[in-house]
Amino acid sequence: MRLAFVDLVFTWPPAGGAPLDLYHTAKGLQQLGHDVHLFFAHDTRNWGIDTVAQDKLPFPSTGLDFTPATYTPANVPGAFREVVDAWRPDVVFICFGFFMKPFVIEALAHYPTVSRYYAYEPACPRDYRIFKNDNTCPNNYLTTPDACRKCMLDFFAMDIRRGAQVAYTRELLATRAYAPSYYERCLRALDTLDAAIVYNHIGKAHLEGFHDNVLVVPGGVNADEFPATPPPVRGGDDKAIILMTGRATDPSKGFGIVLDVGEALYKERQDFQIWVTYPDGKHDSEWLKAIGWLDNAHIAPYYQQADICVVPSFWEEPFGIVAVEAMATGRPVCVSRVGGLQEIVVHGETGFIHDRFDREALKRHLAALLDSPDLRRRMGEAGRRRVVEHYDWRRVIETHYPPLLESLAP
Amino acid sequence: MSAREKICVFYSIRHNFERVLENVRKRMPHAAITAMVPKGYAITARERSWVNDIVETERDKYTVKDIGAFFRLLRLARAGRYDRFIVLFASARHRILAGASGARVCECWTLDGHIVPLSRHALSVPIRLLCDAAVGRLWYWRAWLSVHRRRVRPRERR
Repeated sequence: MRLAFVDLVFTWPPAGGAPLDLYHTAKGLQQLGHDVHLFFAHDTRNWGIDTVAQDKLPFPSTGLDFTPATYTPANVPGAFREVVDAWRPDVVFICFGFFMKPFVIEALAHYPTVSRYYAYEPACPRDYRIFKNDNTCPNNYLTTPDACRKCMLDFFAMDIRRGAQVAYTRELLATRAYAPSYYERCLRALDTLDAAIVYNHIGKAHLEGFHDNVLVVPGGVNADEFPATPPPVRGGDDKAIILMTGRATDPSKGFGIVLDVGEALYKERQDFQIWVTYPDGKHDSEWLKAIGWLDNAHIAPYYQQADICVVPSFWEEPFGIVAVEAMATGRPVCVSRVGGLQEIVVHGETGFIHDRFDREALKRHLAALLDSPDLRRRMGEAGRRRVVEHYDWRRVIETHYPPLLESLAP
Repeated sequence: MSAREKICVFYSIRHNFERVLENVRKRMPHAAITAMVPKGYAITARERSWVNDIVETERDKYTVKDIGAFFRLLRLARAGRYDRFIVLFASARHRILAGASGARVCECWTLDGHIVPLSRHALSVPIRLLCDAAVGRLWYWRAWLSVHRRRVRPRERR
C-alpha cells in the first residue's frame, strides 16, 4: 500500500517522542513492504526548530515551506492536499500537530485517514499534557468545551495581548481555536477519521463516544539498541546506582521527588548514588550526580551501569519510553501510577509502581531493590522479556498495523 | 571597527544555544565571542569550545515586575561594548535588549542559519511593541467575547 505520513511539526534529528514514533512507524511499515512518504511542514522560523535532515531519513520526504505569516488555515490544508493528491496514497496517517490538525484532517478526508495522537491533544487545547496545577486536569475539551475555552484563553491571555509572540499562540489565533466553530470543526474532523491511535487507555477514554475506532498502540524501542546486560556486581564500597533519565529539568518529570526521596534514604543508608540527566554540576552531592543531558544515542551505557531506574513523573506520561529503555537493558524500574507508565510496568514483576507524589512508597520500593540484588536481577529479566514481547518496534508494528491497514484497504 | 569583532550571543534554550554558537563560530572564526548566560547556567564543554568568554546575568529569569533587574541586565549588555549582539528569538524583550546593548549590529539568528536583522533605532522597539500590543488587545477582546458570550453545546457521547 502507499502510505502518506503528514506531520505539522516534524523534526529530525528528533526533538521529542512524536517524531521518533513517526520515524519508527514509517520505517517499520516500509520494511513490511509498503511505500511510505512523509509530508511535513517546514516551519523553522515559526517554531524555532531545526531544519529537518531529510537525507538522514530512510524514506522519501517532502517539506512544505511556511512562515509565521503563511501558516494559516487558508494556506496549510490546501498545500498539504495538493502534494498528497499528487502522490496518490491509499491511506494517510496524520501525525503531530496542534490547532491546525483538524483543518488538515478535513482537507484529506477523501482518503482513508488515521490520526495519531502523541499526548492528549484532543482533550486539552491549553496543554496537551492535560496538566494543570501540578495535577491531571479532570476536564476534556470534547465534553466540557466552555470550561476548556476559558482556561485556554486565561492561560494565553498575556501572550495574546502582547501580540502573540509564541508560535503556539499564533496558531491558536490563526485557527480561531477559541471559537465555537472550532469545536464543531474538531468533531467533524473526528467524524471523518477512519481510526484514531492513542498511546494509552486514558487517551482512549477521552475519545470514547466521539469516535468508534480508537486504537491503543504503544510506542517502542529497538531492543537491539538496548541490549540486556547482567546487573553490575557490587561489593565493598561500590555503590548501587539509581538512574533517572529523560528531561529531568521539566518539573512534571518528578526530579523534586527524587531529591526528597534520595535525601531521606541517604540518612538511613549510604550504599547508593542517584544519577540524573540534569545539567552538569547542578545539585551534585554525596549521593546525587548530575550527568547532563544525554540523547537517545548516548544513553544505553548509562542504563548498563545502573542497578535501578526511576521514573517518578507527575503528569500522565502518554508512553514512558525511558522506562521501556531501562527494562530492555534488564533493569528494574520504579515508576509513578500515571498514563502509559502504569501499563508498561507490571507491579512486583518488572518493577514497582507508586502513587503519584507518594515519596514514602518510592523510598520503600528503592530500599527493597537496594536490599536484594536477586530481586533486581529477576525483575530486570522479566522487564527485558516484556519489552521483547510487547515493546520492540518490530513487534509493535507487526502486531498493530497490518490489521488496521487491512481494515482500511480500498 | 576593532581588528577583532566582539560578539555577544544571548542565551536561549540549550539545544538552540549550542547550535547557534556553533554557527556563529563557523561564520566568524576570528571573532571574540561572549556567551551571555543566566545565573547558575552550567555551560557544556561543547558550548565552551566555541566562545572566548562567558558572562553570567544577575538572574536566571526576568519578570516584567522587576524592572530594576532588567535595567541592570541592559547595563551588563552595554558594558561589554559589543560590535554585534545576537539573540535567538525576535521577541519584544530580546529586541529591546539587543537594541539597548549599543552594538552596531543587532541580529536574530535562527537554527536554520537564517539571520534576521533587528533595528537599532531607538524608537523602533517601543513603536513595534505598541503596535503589537494594540493588535494583540483587539485579538484578545475578540476571543474574550467569543469565549464569554458564545456558549458551545457539547456533543453527547455516543
